[in-house]
Amino acid sequence: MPKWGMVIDLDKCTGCQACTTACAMENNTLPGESWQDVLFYHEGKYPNTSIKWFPRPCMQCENPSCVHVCPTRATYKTDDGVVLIDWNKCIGCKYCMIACPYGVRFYADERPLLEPDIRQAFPGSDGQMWSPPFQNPESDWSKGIGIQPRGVVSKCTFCYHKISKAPAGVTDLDEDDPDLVEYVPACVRTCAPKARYFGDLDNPESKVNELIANKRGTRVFEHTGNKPQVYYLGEHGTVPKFDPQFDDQA
Amino acid sequence: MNVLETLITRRRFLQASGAASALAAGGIGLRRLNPISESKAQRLSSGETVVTKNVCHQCPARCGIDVYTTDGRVHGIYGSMNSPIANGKLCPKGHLGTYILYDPDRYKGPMRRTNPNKGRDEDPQFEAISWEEALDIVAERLNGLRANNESHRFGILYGRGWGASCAGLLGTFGQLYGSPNIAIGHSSMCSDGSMVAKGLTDGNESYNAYDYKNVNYLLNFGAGFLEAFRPYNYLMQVWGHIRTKSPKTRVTAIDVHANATNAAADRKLLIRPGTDGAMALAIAHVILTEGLWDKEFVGDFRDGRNRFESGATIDGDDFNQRWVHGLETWWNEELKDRTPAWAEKITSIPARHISEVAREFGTTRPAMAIFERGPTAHSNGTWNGMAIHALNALVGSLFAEGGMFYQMGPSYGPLPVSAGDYMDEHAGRVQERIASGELPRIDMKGTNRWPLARNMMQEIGPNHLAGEPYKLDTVMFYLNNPIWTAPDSKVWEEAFKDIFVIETSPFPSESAKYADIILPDHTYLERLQDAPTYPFEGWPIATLRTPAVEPLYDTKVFGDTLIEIGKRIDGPMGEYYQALDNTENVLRHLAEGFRDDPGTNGVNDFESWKREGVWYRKPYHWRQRRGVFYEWDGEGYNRRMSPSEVREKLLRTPSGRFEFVSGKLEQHADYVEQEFGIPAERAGIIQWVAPEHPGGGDLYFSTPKTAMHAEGRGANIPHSISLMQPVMGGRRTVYLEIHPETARERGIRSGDRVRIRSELGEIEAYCRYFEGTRPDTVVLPMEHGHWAQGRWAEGRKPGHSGEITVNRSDRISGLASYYTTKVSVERA
Amino acid sequence: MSVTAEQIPGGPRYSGNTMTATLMLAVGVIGLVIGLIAAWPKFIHGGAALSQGSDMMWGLPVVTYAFLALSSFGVSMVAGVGAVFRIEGWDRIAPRLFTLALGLSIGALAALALELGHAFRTLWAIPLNMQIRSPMLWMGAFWGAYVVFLVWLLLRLRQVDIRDNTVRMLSIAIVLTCVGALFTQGLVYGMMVMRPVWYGAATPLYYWVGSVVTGLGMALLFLNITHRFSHGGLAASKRRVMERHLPVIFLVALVGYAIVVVSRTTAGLWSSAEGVQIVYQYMVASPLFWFEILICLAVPIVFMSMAGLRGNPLIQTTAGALAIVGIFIARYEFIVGGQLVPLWKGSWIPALVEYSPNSVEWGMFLIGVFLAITVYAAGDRFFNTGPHRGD
Repeated sequence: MPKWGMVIDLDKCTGCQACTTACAMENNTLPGESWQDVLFYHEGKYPNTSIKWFPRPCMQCENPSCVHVCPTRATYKTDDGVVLIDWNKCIGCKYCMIACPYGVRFYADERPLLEPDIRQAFPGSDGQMWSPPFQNPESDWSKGIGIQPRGVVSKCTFCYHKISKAPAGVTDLDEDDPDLVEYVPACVRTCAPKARYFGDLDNPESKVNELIANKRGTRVFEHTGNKPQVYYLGEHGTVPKFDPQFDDQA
Repeated sequence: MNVLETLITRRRFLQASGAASALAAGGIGLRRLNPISESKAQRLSSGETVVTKNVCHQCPARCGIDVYTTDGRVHGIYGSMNSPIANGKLCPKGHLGTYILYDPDRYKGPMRRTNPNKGRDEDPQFEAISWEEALDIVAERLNGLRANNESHRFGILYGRGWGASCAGLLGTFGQLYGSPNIAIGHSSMCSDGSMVAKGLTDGNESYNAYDYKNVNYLLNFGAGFLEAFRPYNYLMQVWGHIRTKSPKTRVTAIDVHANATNAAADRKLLIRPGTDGAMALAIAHVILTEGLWDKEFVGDFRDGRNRFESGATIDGDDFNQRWVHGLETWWNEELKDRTPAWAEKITSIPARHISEVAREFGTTRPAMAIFERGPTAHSNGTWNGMAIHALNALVGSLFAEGGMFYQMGPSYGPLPVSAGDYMDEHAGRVQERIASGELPRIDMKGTNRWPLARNMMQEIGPNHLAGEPYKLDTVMFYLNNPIWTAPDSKVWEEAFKDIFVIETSPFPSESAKYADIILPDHTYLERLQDAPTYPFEGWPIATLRTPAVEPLYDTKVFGDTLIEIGKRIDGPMGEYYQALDNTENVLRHLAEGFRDDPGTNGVNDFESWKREGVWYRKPYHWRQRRGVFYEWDGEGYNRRMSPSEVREKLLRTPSGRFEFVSGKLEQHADYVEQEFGIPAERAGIIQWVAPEHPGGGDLYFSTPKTAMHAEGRGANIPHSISLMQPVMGGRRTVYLEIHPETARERGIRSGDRVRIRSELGEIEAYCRYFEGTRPDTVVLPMEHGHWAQGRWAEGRKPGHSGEITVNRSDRISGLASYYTTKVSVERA
Repeated sequence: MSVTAEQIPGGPRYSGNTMTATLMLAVGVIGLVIGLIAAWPKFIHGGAALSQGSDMMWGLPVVTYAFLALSSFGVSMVAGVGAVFRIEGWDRIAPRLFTLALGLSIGALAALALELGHAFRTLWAIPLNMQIRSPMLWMGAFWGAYVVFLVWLLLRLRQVDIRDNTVRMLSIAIVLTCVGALFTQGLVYGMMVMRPVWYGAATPLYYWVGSVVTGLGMALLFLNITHRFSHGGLAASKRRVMERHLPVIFLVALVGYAIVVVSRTTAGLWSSAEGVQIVYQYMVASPLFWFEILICLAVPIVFMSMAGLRGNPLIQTTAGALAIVGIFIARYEFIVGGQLVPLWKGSWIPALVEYSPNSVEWGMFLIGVFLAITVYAAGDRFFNTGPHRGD
């Protein structure tokens, strides 16, 4: 079985958020429920300021703290390395959200980010929180795929509904290969500067491992010991320290 | 089974360890229990998924998209792999297209207004009517105007015209109907500055096509390369390539605030708004004084000795100019004194940075200087643009590999009928009156007021209000919403109260609130429509939208609406449109042209065009190499072109060369003197002209677009709003960027609500501190603050920047100077 | 149906005044109804009615259940000392305290059930899946066992005296399970290395110290109310407990807690590690913190350290009430504070997370608290934990 991992090249990423909206479209997430997001930071003083950004899917950690704290094993790690949530078992305690150092988990049964609530515009049926006409027909509550019911946690699935159908033995899911494009996660597929790669971390000769080695890939927040399966390449792989710069916040 | 596994593992756990290790964070790996529930994936629908071809609608780039539909519901949009623009990728806007199709605030069919009062707070009280009724109402009005010899009082204003089957039909309509105001494009509220600057210097009044993939140095003046420059998706693909190729392309980006584009570049320079021309001139100065110009394209001193010295003139006879014109005049009359030290005082960029950039730009080949609205949306915009574009001539990047050129159009076949055969007397007379200047356009383009502009849409509201040159009677909008988007838009709100408005948008726009008749268009996923490419890599592309679903509501594609109206006009005009029949017929005829010129992808007729979604034919036909121009002969760029051929096809100036002294501008020397106070003999010289900033405030007000915004089609999409301004964290609103010191001086804290004021009035916004903004500038992304457009668009701060943007346009290009108003900011 | 001792042949006779209990019951029920009204949107709109969410996961609803649960454990520990060691007088107040503990646990469970997305799934999903790596599972296991033992003990007390042997065994079990629940609840927070405000082996101890303070504070508060602010009618041993033992131990617990608070705050303000100092600075800058320290912690310490005051029922009630409020504030600051620093949100949340409870969450809080009061007030009669002749 492959151990799926992702590589993101920060030198190529343009911070456009296409990955974020492709994910939102593919997985019908709500505004603010950014399973995939791009996080921006700015530092420095005029005129020498810098802006950094980090595309952030779920890290699908090797040592997932979220899995370890879930009292019902609703969140679990598959044999091919993906951390999923079973919406039939999740009790909505949100402990996994507390335990995730990367902030990738969402409790969408909350106040809407934007009014009016889009769930009112497309009220839910069949137990879903909302049922828009443009809903992706793929659904599997045991894997957290599709639109969730109320009261459960949701997160990036590495587009498991796609990658799980990839032909066996493929080491890298390359979106430029017409035979593989339908199996590629949405965020990887759409990335215009081709800053994202998806492949088998257990195969030493995969493209993802090649990139990690050649460009000295790093992981974020190593001190937590979670060992993400998402690696970052490029010159600014360190997340800036949390530092609300301006004391006079209104 | 599961219970047994539970027992086994628990027993193993108890045997294998004490309790402590199990609770430790890095504890032993217990065999995971399978989840109880079924792990079979289910699909919610048993139907097959169909993929159709369409073209994204959220910006002008024309990215081909694959549209995924199951059981008649569209649920996915990805970039099409066979689109040479998209190449399987998309920008953030493209994926949200399904929200546009299923927007809950869409109009469901034609409607008529019953509330005679018009205004921001007036409910139109629309009543639903049939298409027959709606079209008859419109036709009756238009026929009435025509009968009264007032056909010029009907205007069609369009924004994002896509191609021959929609906006392309408008010119003929105007010609047959008899109105100079059909159609008026929005380009003067878009980016005419760059087009006119290029037209005055290299003879092509157009955006450039570029060979980015081979450029080694990119000098970017204010273009949002990673934000809203077009074609955005493609630019990002190119970015990934040029930043990892060998050699890596170096990028210097100049803007008035820090953004993703200049953050990703190798060097960022924050310039005083409206002064880019000064920097460009200084760079040109250094290139010449240090001998870095492209000798083969520009020419050289006959004895090879560089005589360009700061402050000293040259003798024009000493220099043999090859493909440029007026170099000696330019140097002697202007450039010799435009040093980096001089530019520093104007731009606030240190002279050493200017010199470094000039040297990098001058010593790296191929190199390009690109620009768009940033430098040109000011009173001196065209002058800035010409100075920047001149740099491309100096380094020989025009029509070269790794350089810039222009876009070829598609090989469309002719329409079944020719307009000239259907002109009646009235139409003929109107044409004469237009040609003689007796009947000007409502926007006064082409008159003494705006002799060099391509459009002056922003003048229509004020002109109508003043009754100069006349009052309009009826206006139809197509993909255009100037009642809201125009600078000083409140004038339009007043002006349009007494105009009969026909709105074709399917969305409840601000223009719709003023409309008397709604003739709703399909959204793009429901359309059959052509869209030749926006300037791209030069070789022609014609994309095609094919419907993914049957229209959800009782809507009609704009092209058909126009044709149906045309059929109902009395006289031969009606016959013309009877013959034209509908847009599908138009498209079939256009596609016939592909038979003789099959696409590189094999598309050679209407059916294959629909299947592929795009026709294109590589390569671009011309190339300049080491000072020689070649034409494509079928196998390579082998056929040398004569200077007259170059003049006819490529450098279309009076001299047939790149003009540092613009011959076309010299023809309007009196106008230039009158508007800029420049002596007539200097009128055509690329020179520094200082910007004038209206508004009355003390801070420059810049209003750029963010990556999620482009043409604003995400206004009613909550996902779009939630990602609108990532650098500032704007996800429920869009923040005013303000420098911390600037704010503190005014007692403003980060996050405060503030009032932004100009001589036109004030708007409110929330602000956030940003060290990346110039202290003398505040930045508010444009086109937010709708008072219509749908439930998510409305009622959200900030107010619309356009309301306080003074309607002062560049006197040459006519570009509405969106970036040049000066405002004051105070705590609300 | 309430049972009075008179109806149990041969059993101890109930002799307490029912008026206080009836009044308390009325207060409890009214408060419960108010809480239900305020919390009504939660039943209709689910999580969308709450202020907590993806940015602040554990807000007032979780603080409510945690506070009530930990109070329950604290009260049980206080009761357990008396019941296990059969200390004269102390064992006589134990039955009422066990009732209070049950009420607090029921209130906590109600609050938790309202907060969880799918509360009743816990009954099958946790035992059948056994994620034993999760401290929350252990906390649930201990708490569940604790409640079972507590109910068992209280049902038994309807028929026998506190000095019964089985009752004593159950008291031991209750103390052990409640300490277990307490510590594992602490580990739920303390094991989170990615939440530096919470992380640390000492977090369970911090919870324990706070619980002891709350338990003693609640004991003093509720017992004094039930005794109608007078120690006069009490049996001598009971009076000694109320006037000497409890207040002194309360003082010791308060001082111990104060030391813990000071050391945590000092270390937090000093540590420049990411996500720690800024939270403590924010906390210390808030008037709520100073109210907690000065009014809710210092004042009870002063009261309890003065020999002349510490036995006074009104002083005790006040000190107890203040301490309870102070611990509640501390729990809130701890739980919410640990989430104030956004974990990897970039510019979307450039400063501390903004959270404040809304009326629905306060409604859930009222439900929890007044359910506890209702159970306690009804318990005198139903569990026969009221005073018996000869007490």
